[in-house]
Amino acid sequence: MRGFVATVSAEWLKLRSYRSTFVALGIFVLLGAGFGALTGWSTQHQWATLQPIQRATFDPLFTSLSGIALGPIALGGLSVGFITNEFSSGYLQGTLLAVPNRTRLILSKIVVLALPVAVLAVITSYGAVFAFNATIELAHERVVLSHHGVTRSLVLAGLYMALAITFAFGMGLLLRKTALAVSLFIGIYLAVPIVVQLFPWHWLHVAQPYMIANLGASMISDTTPTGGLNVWVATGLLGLYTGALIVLGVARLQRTSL
Amino acid sequence: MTSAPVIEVSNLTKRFGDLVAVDGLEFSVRSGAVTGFLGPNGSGKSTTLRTIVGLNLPTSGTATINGANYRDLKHPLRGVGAFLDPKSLPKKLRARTYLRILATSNRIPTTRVEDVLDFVGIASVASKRIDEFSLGMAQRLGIAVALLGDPEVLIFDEPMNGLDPDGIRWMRQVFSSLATEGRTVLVSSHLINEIATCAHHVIVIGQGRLLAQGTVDELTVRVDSPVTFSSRDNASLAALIEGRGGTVTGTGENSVTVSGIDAEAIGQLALDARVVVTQLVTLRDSLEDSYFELTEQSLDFKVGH
Repeated sequence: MRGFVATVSAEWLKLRSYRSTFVALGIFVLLGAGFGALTGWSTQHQWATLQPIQRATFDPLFTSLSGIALGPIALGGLSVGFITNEFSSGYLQGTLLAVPNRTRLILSKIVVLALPVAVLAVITSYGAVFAFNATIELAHERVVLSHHGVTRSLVLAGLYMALAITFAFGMGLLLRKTALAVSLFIGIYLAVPIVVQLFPWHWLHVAQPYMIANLGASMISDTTPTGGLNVWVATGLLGLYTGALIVLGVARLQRTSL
Repeated sequence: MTSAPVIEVSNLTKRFGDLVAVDGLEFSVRSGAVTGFLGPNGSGKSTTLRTIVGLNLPTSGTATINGANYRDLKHPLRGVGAFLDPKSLPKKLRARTYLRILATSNRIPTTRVEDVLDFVGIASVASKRIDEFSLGMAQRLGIAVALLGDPEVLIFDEPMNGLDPDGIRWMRQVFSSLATEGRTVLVSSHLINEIATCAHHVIVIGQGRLLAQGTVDELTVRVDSPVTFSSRDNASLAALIEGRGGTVTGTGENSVTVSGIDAEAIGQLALDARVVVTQLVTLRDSLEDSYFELTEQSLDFKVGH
């Protein structure tokens, strides 16, 4: 355990030493809170032109968290790079001389990425809700923090971000090339759900709620989205995807000569 | 040199696909000495060293340090310091930051960071990013990395690459003094002369196989070491040497080079003949000769391959 704590401390010091870490985290916070303000403002201006059905189904919480849904794009590169940069530069060799237990090294890297991101994402989610409420003047369409499920959503936004960036890290661990892993991650996250809609086959549409972004939508909604999965099923599935990817990545790393 | 072997490589084989990089290699390294690990480029030196420190897993056989696998060491930097590749330094980090990260990971007091920076003489540039370092500075940082945990065992792969003559001399002194302190120092090189003057033991490999292992003296008796001398009467001393079975192989302005006779015998001849000797040197490139003799075959095979 003491050895694990030492490795975590060292990786934490390493992560903090790169300026790009703070750039990525800054973009994430600005995007998250900024979209809260932006969606509040645009809802306020569009409200008069909305159809009754649109007004009835309007989900203030989900709308205010639009920026959080983009979070994995902002932080995916940081997360992938935290392992692929060590592969491509040769630095991993130096790291492994100090920490030859590769499973411990990977788990430590995940801890120092996921924990701060989870905390920051919860704070950013609250910031997004406050910004949304501040820019929308329609009192009845504001997010009420005391409503059932709202606190859960904001906390799960943190867990969602932690899992999503761990998934991105897992892709980096498995693929080892920064550009390949980043493009594939963004592809899986953003492009696949869009492309799938272009095809007429029913089974593809059935797969839709199982895509990462839609699992995230289920997690950060205070109600189950139409056609989406239950919040806990979604959380479990994303955990499963991420865990499987990490297990594969660690298994490959264990067998690799460096 | 009766100490127990510290690094033990036993029947080690490492294949990468069809390529056999190390082939049944067997040797041991003892403490209190600098051991030179020699072989031509591509002979399997780096693969062997990487296997010793757990970066490679052996295909078969073992490579242990004090009986343990490197991967099983809890805080490896405190027992083993290795610097195998300048590319293993994180270019975008500052030198001091990198050493602090390493110290943290192995619970080494951070005061050691300043100690090793001072020792290798880069304390004044330690706030620079490593990508601003010259190759020589990077090699010095590599020595600092290896020494950080004050380890008993030190392993270096081609540490003198890219160093200027001053740097090479400095590094030889470092290795010698580390060995004098009783540590185990294993240094690889493809250039025999780089480590001939500081190594006590030599391991020579070619094509992943052991070619020779022993003290420098043991290895050099395989070839006739030439001796150069200068004296007040070179001609008569040369005649005496030829009378004892020696052969004159070269005559300089003031000196004569002979082979087939050692320096001690020449000194005795000069004393008996009352000739004043001003210089008497056994030529150091004899180790180089024996090295080439040993590795020639493995290189020939390669060319024909």
